[in-house]
Amino acid sequence: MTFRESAAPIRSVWPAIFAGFALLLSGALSILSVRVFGLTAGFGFLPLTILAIWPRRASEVASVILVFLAGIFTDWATGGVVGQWALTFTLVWMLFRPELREQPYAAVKLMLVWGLICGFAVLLLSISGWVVYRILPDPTSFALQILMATLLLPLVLLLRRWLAHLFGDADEWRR
Amino acid sequence: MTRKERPNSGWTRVALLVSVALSCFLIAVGRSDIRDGSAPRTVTEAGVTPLAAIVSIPLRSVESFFGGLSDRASAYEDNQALKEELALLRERQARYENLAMKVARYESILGVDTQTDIPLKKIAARAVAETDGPFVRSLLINVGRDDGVSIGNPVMSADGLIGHIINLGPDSARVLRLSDLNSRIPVASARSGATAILAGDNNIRPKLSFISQRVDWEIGDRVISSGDDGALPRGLAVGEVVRGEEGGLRVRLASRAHPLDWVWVSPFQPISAPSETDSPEGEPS
Repeated sequence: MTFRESAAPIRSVWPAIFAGFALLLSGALSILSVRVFGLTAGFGFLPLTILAIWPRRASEVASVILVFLAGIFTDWATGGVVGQWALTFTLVWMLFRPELREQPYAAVKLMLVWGLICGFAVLLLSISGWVVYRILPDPTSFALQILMATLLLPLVLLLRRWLAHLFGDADEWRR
Repeated sequence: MTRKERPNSGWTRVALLVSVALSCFLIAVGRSDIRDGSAPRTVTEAGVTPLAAIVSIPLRSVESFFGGLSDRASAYEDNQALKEELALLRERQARYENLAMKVARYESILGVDTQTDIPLKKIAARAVAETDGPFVRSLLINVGRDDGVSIGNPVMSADGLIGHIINLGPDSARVLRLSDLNSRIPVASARSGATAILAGDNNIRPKLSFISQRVDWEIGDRVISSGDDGALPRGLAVGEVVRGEEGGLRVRLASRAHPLDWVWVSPFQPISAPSETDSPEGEPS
């Protein structure tokens, strides 16, 4: 399969719905944190792991709508300014579209994409936070949230593979 | 699947454009603080609270495990320090009891009541989610309006004041932590009585601002709530004054000493402003 072919698969709605639900769930869980050795690591970047492995065959229009709605939900759940996570999710999805991933499951590329996603999200959140609060964000908090999400990324990936295996039309949405 | 589409359609671009524009609009019109008790936010918080309560159980176990390791490592030193503190406190207790008797006698002579206004009733709650993000420092607890909690009620841990309630649902409430950017509470030095505003700036150690009697503040002073604004009771333990990295005075919060699990809400009734209609009899309102 050439890159051009892999980059333009036929889309369907169900993978987007699955991924949207996962994003919604991770948005709800993003309010959690764990405190170890005096440092509090939040799960704030957990939804970005879902965006990093968004199904390549998911309907784009449905994906955009669900990503935006999950962002608004995350803003409400975390008590932040409404629109901040929605903007971040949408722009991250837009910039790192699933079809841009040539080899979806290549570990090195996934980590590279993941690093870029985190960097881009930090930039977006810092700018939008500056616009609203007129202060720069706490870098330690960002670092710990990225660390926590990076530790959970393999688990999320395994969960997705398991779900893809579980459903009959796995090929439709696992890629 | 029956409904399929080709990628990169014009509709995708339209959807993206609308989403980005709508997000920017919401950020622009949104209030800069999180004291937004709108129905969708309250419903969302009420919805995620039970889920967070379930998922937080293993997380609290992890915290206890690592906390236990740290405690065991310093058990001997802690034991020695506690013995010294106990000896000191026994002496202070005897002095306190004498003073309490004296104060009670003076109060009865003068006919005044100088006791602290911290309510004795406490509502126990579980901190199900601690949002410690780059911009927001809040806490979600599993008690709400139905349990007798009100907006503005102080929330305490065993170590000290955590914050106050800013958003309320039937079974859940959001607590604005002292370190949050939007948090401002009047505090006082337990040693000198000097007052200041404890202003959160998303640092784990909030700063002391508007200090009128800076000379009366010293490193190591115990900080308590002053109750000046009438919204919080006087005398709640807040923390200890430390020198900030930028040279100013900051407060090491007592509530950050241990991971938050169980907390309690003080159903404090703030002093209500005198109504304009409540003018004395005979006087024109």
